[in-house]
Amino acid sequence: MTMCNLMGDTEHKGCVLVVEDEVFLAMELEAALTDGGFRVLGPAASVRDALDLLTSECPDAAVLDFNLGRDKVTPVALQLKTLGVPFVLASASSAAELSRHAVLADITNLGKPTDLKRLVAAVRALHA
Amino acid sequence: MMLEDLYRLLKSGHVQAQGVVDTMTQPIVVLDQNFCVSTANNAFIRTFKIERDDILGENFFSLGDGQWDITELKNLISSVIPKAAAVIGFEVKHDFPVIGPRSFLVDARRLIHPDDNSTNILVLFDDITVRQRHDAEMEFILSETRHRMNNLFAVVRSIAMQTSIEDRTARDYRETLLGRLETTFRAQEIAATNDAADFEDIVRLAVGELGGDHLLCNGPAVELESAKVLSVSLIFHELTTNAAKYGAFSVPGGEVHVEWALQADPQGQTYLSCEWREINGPPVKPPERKGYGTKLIKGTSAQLHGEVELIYAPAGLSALLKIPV
Repeated sequence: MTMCNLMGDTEHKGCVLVVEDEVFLAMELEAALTDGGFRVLGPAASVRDALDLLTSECPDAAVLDFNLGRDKVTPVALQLKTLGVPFVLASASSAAELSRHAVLADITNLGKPTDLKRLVAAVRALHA
Repeated sequence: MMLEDLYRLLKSGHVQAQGVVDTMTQPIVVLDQNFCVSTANNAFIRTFKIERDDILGENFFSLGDGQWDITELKNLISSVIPKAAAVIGFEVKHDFPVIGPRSFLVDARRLIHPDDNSTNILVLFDDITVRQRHDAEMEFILSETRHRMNNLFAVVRSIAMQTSIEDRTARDYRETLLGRLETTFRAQEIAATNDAADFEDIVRLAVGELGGDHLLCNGPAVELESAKVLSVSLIFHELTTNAAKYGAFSVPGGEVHVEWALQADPQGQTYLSCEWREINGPPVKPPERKGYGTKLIKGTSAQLHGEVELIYAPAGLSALLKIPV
């Protein structure tokens, strides 16, 4: 398992990957996380974009939507797991649907519409 | 009564009873006290694709590879005669050798007899395979609909939250909000019902009635895949809103020229390179702060892996958009 290098400098702002295909929601998540003191990687609108971003930079945490157009976010979740990056979901999908994917089974889903304060707090808890 | 008449009566009664059983569309078998098949109706023969001669007199639980030899069902049916009990709606899921995977609800009852000492059991089969598949499809559609409703609400909420309320009237806020919502819904409708859409059509639709004679489009036919329709619509909607407030669409003689061409980069990626140019509008000066409209244009372009440059030239705003197609 490859672990990310979490040893940043003291100025290190937590970097959060955002994967969301609805542009309005992606921008809202980005703004909320930026206001919360994080730096946003992305937002990525597709599985391919997210995986591309992960080859260039390893974030400290991630926020994932589940349905990305016709694809599911699972390959990104698996890659994050391999990299040891903790993540939360922000998806309108039911718990039953999500639990069908082993990699998402124990992951917190903040739901959609997403309470942004809760989201930032959840990401902060991951990052801590 | 002559013996012959009695025989005829009994025979016609038997024929009628067999007729009733055969008319039933549900598969039915009658078992004797040893669970051997004494009668099977046509529906049973048809449903399980078997020969009548192969099953008459055979033990029910050993039929067709012992597919009914299910301990629980066996115990239930065994209790039907001694306890005058009935088995109702016992679900059997089985991958049958000839007919494949099926689900049945099985009913077993003691056959009614005037002396109340019948030792025969009537077993009915209700094939619920199709019903279950249908229920599963309905459940899937409902869950998908719930999911889409939540998603839609999240989008609406997000647009309402991000449309700024500062320095504007309620009327202006409402118009801006509705403009964004309508563009979004219209674009989603196009994307959901088409695999691709014509770029010029999308631009004209996003600009709407403000365009008319004041919108001049010039470029080759370009097909936009449906996933890009919403983003492109939003970009041109926001440019239009801006032009209606401060630019070429705010004065009678103003015009917007939209020109585009396809270009390929050395890696073989094709780009749509498009210019939105406003002329004969009021003098333009760069905005003092970056509004949400501008952020939306930039964010949307980035989502498309494209670039956008807004040039606030005094003679009119130009927007240079480059997106991969």
